[in-house]
Amino acid sequence: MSEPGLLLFGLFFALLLAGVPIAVALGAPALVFLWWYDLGIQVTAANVYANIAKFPLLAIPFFILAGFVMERAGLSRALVQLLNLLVGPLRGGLALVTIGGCVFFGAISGTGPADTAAIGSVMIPAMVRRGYAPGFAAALVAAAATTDVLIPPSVAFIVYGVITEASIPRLFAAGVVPGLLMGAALVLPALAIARRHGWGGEAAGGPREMLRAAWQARWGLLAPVVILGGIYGGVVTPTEAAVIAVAYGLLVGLVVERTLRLGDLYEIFRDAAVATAVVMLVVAFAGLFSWTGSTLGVMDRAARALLGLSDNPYVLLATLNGLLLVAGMLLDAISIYYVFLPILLPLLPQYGWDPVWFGVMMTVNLAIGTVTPPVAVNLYVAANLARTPIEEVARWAAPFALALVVALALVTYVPALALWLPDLLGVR
Amino acid sequence: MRLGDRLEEAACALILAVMTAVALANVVTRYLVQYALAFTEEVVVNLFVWLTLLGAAVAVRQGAHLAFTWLVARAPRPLRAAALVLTTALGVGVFLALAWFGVGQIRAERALGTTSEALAIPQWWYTAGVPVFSGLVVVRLLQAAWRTARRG
Repeated sequence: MSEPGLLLFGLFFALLLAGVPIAVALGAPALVFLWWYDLGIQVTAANVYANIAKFPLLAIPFFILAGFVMERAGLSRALVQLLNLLVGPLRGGLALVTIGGCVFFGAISGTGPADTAAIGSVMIPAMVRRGYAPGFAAALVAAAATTDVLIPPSVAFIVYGVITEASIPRLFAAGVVPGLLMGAALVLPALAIARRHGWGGEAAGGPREMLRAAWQARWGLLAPVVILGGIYGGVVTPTEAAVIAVAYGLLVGLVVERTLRLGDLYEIFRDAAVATAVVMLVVAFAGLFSWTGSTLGVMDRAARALLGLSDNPYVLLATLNGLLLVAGMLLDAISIYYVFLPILLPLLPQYGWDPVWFGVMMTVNLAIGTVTPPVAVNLYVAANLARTPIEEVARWAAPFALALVVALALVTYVPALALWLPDLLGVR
Repeated sequence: MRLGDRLEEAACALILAVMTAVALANVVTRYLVQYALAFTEEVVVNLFVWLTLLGAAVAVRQGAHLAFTWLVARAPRPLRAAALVLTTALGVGVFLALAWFGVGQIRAERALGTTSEALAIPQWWYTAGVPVFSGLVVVRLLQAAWRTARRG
């Protein structure tokens, strides 16, 4: 074989299609190539170890844990009740509440599936009670939870930052406007579909009730301030902010609101630990795969081949986004970062592309991948909550995915959407 | 649920709890007492590796690992069986390799007397988690394959 790199990637995709878990589908070909080409297979254990043992990556378990704590402490429920009084009475109001709830919980949790579970467990039953189709309810929650990946804190940005050495606080700030834009893009199809089917909202409340609901939701409303305030006040690192978020959630749940009992903690820590392990195992072996590819020199050659596709940067961006959308249907965002970034990064200086903007664009793209089947984590979580077949949910999700692609096009061709806020805040 | 399964899950929860407590202690001391505990990063980062591998074993049992199973689920029975054999064999191979090279790493660290940066304890105490937990993943992979095969 004249091009070992093609074989490395080909093997990975073949194993992936055969249903081999992603971590193993990345690890097995990497090991074979390290051995066959004598690239230093002895350091496998050290490499895998080092891929995990990175201080910035520690933000991942703590943000996942914080999401679990705040959900079980009922913070999402109070937020949804407040939103319900604000926009619930409108026609299609519950759909708006769902989008708003997902966007806001995005500022508390770091992953899409966590957001889907937190808001979905409240909103899907609420919508179904009001006559919304369960498939629609599930699809809307899954689609709205894609904003979580963009709105800080974000596990995806942490991994992107670790790989590219781009500033994580700057990435966090750059994700805010695109995240809101994705939420806004969902409003139109959500309202159009809800109104066509005559799906309504909840009863209205007066100003007194609104104030009371706001007071009840105060700990949830305050959470993003606590989490993000420290990072942008320049006092804490994202990892420390994640630890503070866990402590805040436990304090509110155990001591202040008493919605958590000590006995609940075991389940919370166990579930967060396993959720972390699933993500980090992919990180560990994707890192090994990426290192193998770079050592073989595949990545540079693939980058040159991509450059040869078109001289026009706009055409190249459209092609890249198309490729990433397809990759996002089969793979999770973290594997895609590790596998594709070594190829894509050399392109950035060629075109004068900002690495933070590029990260935001790529992340919007891969967030869409969480609602495009066959591999679509958000859809699976939501379909499970709605007890609806995944095929049915996927059908309802199509218009939302389309709306998100429009948002992606805007983020791609108007870099200011991402870079305006971090520049305004002066975040480096 | 059997005792071994429970122990495995409890150990996962405990590792994450210790990581959280130590990291929190570091934040508190750093901002309130203006004194950073140098050892905390070392402990938390190394426990993180243990958490990943031990949690991976639990995730095998729960069938929680990310995979693209859409095609396989629609394949005829003999192909499904072949995919199960392939998946299990590769998984076992990868984690045996990890255990094997982990042992090699421990040998090297013991021969050189490598100690950890902050606590100055033998580095191989941390590395020992790699072969031990990788071995556990292998056991869980074989058990899961056996269960799936019997269900047909």
